[in-house]
Amino acid sequence: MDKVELTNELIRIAKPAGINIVEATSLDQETRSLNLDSLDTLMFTIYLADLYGIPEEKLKELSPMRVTEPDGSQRPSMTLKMIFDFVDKHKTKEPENLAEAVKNLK
Amino acid sequence: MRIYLTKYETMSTEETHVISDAVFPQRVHWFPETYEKTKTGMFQVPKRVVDRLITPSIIEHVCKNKAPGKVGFILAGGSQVWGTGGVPLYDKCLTNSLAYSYKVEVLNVTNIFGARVASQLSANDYVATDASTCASSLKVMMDVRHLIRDYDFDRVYVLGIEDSICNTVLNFFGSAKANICLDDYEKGARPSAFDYSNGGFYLGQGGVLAVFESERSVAACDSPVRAELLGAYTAAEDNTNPLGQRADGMGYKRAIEGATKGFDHGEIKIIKTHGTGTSINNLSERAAIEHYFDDFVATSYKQRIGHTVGASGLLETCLLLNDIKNDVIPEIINRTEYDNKFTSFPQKPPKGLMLSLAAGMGNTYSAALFSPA
Repeated sequence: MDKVELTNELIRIAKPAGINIVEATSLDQETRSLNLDSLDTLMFTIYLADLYGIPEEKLKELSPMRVTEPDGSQRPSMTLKMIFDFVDKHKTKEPENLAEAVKNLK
Repeated sequence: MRIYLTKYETMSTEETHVISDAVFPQRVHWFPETYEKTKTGMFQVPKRVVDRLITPSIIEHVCKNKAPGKVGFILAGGSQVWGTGGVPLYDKCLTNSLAYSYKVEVLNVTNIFGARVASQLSANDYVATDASTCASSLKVMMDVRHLIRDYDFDRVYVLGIEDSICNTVLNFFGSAKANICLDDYEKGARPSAFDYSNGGFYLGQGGVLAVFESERSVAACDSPVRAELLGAYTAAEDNTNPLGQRADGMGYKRAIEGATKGFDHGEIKIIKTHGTGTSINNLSERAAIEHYFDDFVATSYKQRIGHTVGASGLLETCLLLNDIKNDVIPEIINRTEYDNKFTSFPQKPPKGLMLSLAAGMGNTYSAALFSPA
């Protein structure tokens, strides 16, 4: 299954209706570049955990890394690749296809 | 500054279904499809209702007809007890058909849930949550007036929604014998109000999303006017029991007095009662209404759509506005006596103002005065 396509479908479900969606084009993108706030990101990862059979306790281990800005300040950063690497490592099942995955979340 | 109710969407049903595996088995008015997949923990029931209230028409109003000034949002969420499997007193609640545990727990916090809906509606100048139990959505009419008249808001969205068909609410009402459970039904009890034989209600799932606008916003956006909000007030009564009501209607009287200040009571011809049909509410609400009014038609919706708790006050008001538009004041169902005031038959709406009443546990009484368009 194309992970970018899946991401875009899940973002549409996680984001409140009527809010502009920024579509993902690459797994290297940070969640914040997709206009996902902390609650959207939480919902996105919970949806993924549900689709891939990852226990909630395990999901708590998914945390952003810290990146240093040019001015020396630090901020949390989470890319789609980080999320999907975590999913691939801990998944216990896999949705058959995109349509099936989305259907179960609506 | 005049205040208008310009748009609303409602969700309610007159159909009933039996929930037989509840601790207190009972009929409810609900939308079973909004409970599908709740066992997965991925779906929160109130959100399913809200998704249906935020219609394309509402979104179009938000996006295309931007209010000239400040926009606020109030979630009238009733008791703020959402998404619960049930109180630990009853083990059955952990496994029955209504038991679920929502995985995105933060959205069970009504303030967070409300803020998320507010962002959908671009209401970013004021976001608040009200927990005045069953009076909640009518109680906030007072807040709407404050925001628009005293703080120059141009638009305020009010979302009335509560997780009304859940174990906690069914247990609470059932254990208090406040509503009609299946054993009462089998003995012949039928929901009604202000009646000497029938009385009470079933619980109901429902919601309302209403848009209130200043006259400035109505002019700027060319918004349709459904009613003018003329007055609103909320009061308590001298009562040491927060679950009880005084038979003399002191709370209702104070609310009516406040909401109708400056108006001739003779102008008020239509009354939407709180109308739970319990013995004490029959006495209390009747005493207050008859104290102020003589020539009126009063009705109640709780027997038609169930008691939608926090959503009920404004939801029922909007349903009555729809019925007035259709030239009818519906009867209070299951009345066993002829009554042309607490009406036992459908009547043509008299010309005049419309008063809405609500009461909530915790000693809250609300009234709002409208002029239907």
